[in-house]
Amino acid sequence: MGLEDLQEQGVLLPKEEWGKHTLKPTVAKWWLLVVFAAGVASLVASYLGDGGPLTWVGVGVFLVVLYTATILCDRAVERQRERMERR
Amino acid sequence: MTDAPKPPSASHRTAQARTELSRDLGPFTITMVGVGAMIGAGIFVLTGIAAGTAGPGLILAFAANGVVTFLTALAYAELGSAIPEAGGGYLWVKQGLPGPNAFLAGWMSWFAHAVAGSLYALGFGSYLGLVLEELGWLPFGLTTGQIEKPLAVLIALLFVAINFKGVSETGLAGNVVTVAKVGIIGVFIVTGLWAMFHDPVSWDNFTPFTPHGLSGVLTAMGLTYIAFEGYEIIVQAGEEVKDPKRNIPRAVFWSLAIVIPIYILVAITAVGAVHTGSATPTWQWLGDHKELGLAEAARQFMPLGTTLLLIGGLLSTMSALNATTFSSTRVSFAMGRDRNLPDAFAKVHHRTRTPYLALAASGTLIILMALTLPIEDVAAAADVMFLLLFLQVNVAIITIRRKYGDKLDYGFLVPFFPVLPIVAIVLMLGIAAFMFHFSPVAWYFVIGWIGIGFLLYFTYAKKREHEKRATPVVLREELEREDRYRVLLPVADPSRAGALIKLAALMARHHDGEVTLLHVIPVPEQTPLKVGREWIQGARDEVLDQAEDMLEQYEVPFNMTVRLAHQPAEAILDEVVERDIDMVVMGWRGRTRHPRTAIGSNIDHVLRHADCDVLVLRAGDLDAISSIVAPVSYPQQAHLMVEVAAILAVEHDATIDLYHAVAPGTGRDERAEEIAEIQEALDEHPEAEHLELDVEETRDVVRAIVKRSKDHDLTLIGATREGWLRKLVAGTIPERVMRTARGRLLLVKHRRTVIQTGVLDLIDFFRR
Repeated sequence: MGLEDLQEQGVLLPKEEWGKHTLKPTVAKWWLLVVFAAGVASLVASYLGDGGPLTWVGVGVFLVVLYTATILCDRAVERQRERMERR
Repeated sequence: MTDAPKPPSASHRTAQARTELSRDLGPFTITMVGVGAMIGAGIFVLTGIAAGTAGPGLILAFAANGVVTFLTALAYAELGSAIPEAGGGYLWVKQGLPGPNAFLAGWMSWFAHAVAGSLYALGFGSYLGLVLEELGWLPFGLTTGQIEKPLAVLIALLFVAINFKGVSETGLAGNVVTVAKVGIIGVFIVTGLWAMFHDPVSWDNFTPFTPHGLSGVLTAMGLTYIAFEGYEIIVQAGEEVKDPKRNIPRAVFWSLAIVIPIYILVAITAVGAVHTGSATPTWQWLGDHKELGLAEAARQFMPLGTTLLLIGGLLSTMSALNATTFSSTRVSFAMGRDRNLPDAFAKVHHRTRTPYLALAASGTLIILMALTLPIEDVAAAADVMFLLLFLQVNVAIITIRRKYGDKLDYGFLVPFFPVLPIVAIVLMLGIAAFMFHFSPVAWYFVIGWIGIGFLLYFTYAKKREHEKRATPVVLREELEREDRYRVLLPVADPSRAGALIKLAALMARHHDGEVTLLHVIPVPEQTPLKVGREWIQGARDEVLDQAEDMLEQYEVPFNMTVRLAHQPAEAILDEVVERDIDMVVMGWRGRTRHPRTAIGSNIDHVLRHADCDVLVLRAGDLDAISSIVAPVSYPQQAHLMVEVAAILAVEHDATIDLYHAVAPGTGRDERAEEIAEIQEALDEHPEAEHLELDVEETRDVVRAIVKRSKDHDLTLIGATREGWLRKLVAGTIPERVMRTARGRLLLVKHRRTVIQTGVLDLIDFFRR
């Protein structure tokens, strides 16, 4: 498996564009880090709550975190397309 | 001028016809495809079992699985948008990881889908058994538990027959099943929450939250992981998705954002809305009902609850069994076509046009696993296998980004690369390892399957795989004898190959063997290999006919091959494998244009990878040789050095100066041992009987050899046993001698061991 296989599949960029696109992610990565940390904290809260109110706060925060992470990634997809199409 | 590689945009496509599927699936539809694939048999069958291990902490298990899955989903979003092909994970592992990994990815994928099929067949058996029990139709006082496995076998056979007929669950039927199961789960959640909010006691069911501690939660995570893997189908449908760079990653994320909360809500209602009527906690009650836990829970708070859940369970398990029978068959069929499995796996029935033998093998696997193990162990085996498969994808994303990083058009890029894939790998490995605690039997099956896979790869698939991707042979003349010693002589320019032809002929004649003349037609990377066919006749006339005339004078049998290749070294290696070549004879002009190569890119590659002896000659001719110097350093090398030196000495009536250098300070015992070993090797050669081994103590071996070479007509250089650091810093002794010494040189490299080959291949892979 190598470049030739990818070429046959038609998934490679034109050769003249090789090395011209940055591999820097378009996701707001520090926000994502905060969200990820909040997600882990929500899981810990659910566990420590032992079925009490803290557990439900943890579950609620987890769902908010999940949607926030999804929205951040969704926006990153849009930005990545804009970046590629700009060239 | 050469063509640029085929780009993704239509404006850059070549005029060559290419079949493509019509892109019909928009963002909403493809997201729903992912949701439909995930919400189904897994949640119906596994909720009860997982509740029994995690307790109310099943909520936490689903949420934590959501985090682990989201991490792998990031990798799927990146690779699925950059390489949106039907192969999905298997294809990426094939692209990104070396040797056995691609084979193992297919091998494990086959097992994972087949075992998932066993799980769904057993789930169906339980659900149908309960239906028959409810209706009072179970004969001879049989119970649901007793009839579960026979029913599982019957349904598995039915779906093997359906798949053999080529009927698939598509279009309206597929949509009805998806809407029905999602609808039933939706009603389950709504009625369950309604019941909970009208009965405040329900909230007491969640304490204690994790009765078996974190280990119960981790076990439940492992058990239910299979319920999260369905988003892979989004990537597999990539060729049918509109604007795939945008829609595939979005669909992966949004399908998880829909499914994870649904799973959490199912867990909340299953645990919260049930009243056991005894001291037994609800989670334990659900666990006791195992795969029927959800159906029994629905009986309590959902109108027509059991009936609807049973319908949902039957539809889901049938739909999932159909899908897994299909996918496991497709994987084994693809492996047969890729020559990883016997060709029979790739055979298609003449009437139904379905891969009937791959289907039969997959069906047998599904039935065997369903019959052999209890449902919990089957689920655990499938989960472990899927965890290991997804783990490989996370490794593959790291290597693919490194190898092809800026050459691909990404729709999404994983942030914090490669930290997040590594975190995903560690988490999945941890969960998979923890499953041993729950089901050692499942792990034994998994390890056994992977072990058989390794064995199969190294004894069978590796060679066949190589044959498939070998550079094409466009002309070949065969001699009749199969067991003869074979010397391969790659020829590019016969007018300069006189010495090489003589050397190859002498080696072949000594072994009563034959010479294979190989001419490689180099084709530029940008040009398809088949274009090179128009140059075959020219090669035949200009190269091989001349070489043939020159070879005839030595009266050794010979044959000829012409190959097309982008890399001549690859063609030489392919010929070595296919013809079972014993020795390759190559020429070197004495300089390299590539700063990173020691001798030359093609010669370096052949020296490193050829599984045979290799001779590299730097000489315009092989005439008038009256003395040969052969510095030997260790026994294996001495064998071949003496043999080659003796053949040349007999031909030219020349003397041989055998020479061994030892470093100053080498202990007496160590020196004696070294010399004894070499002498022992020499004693096996009658030609070496009269030869004396001249031992010299020197700090600078290269200078000593170069000095001796001045007094001889031909210098033989063999491979050495130097440390990797020295090789890295200064190059090997043979390389330095070949750069420094003047006069005729012959590099002699004996066949590598299997271990050496493996280690070098691994180093080579990571250096690329």
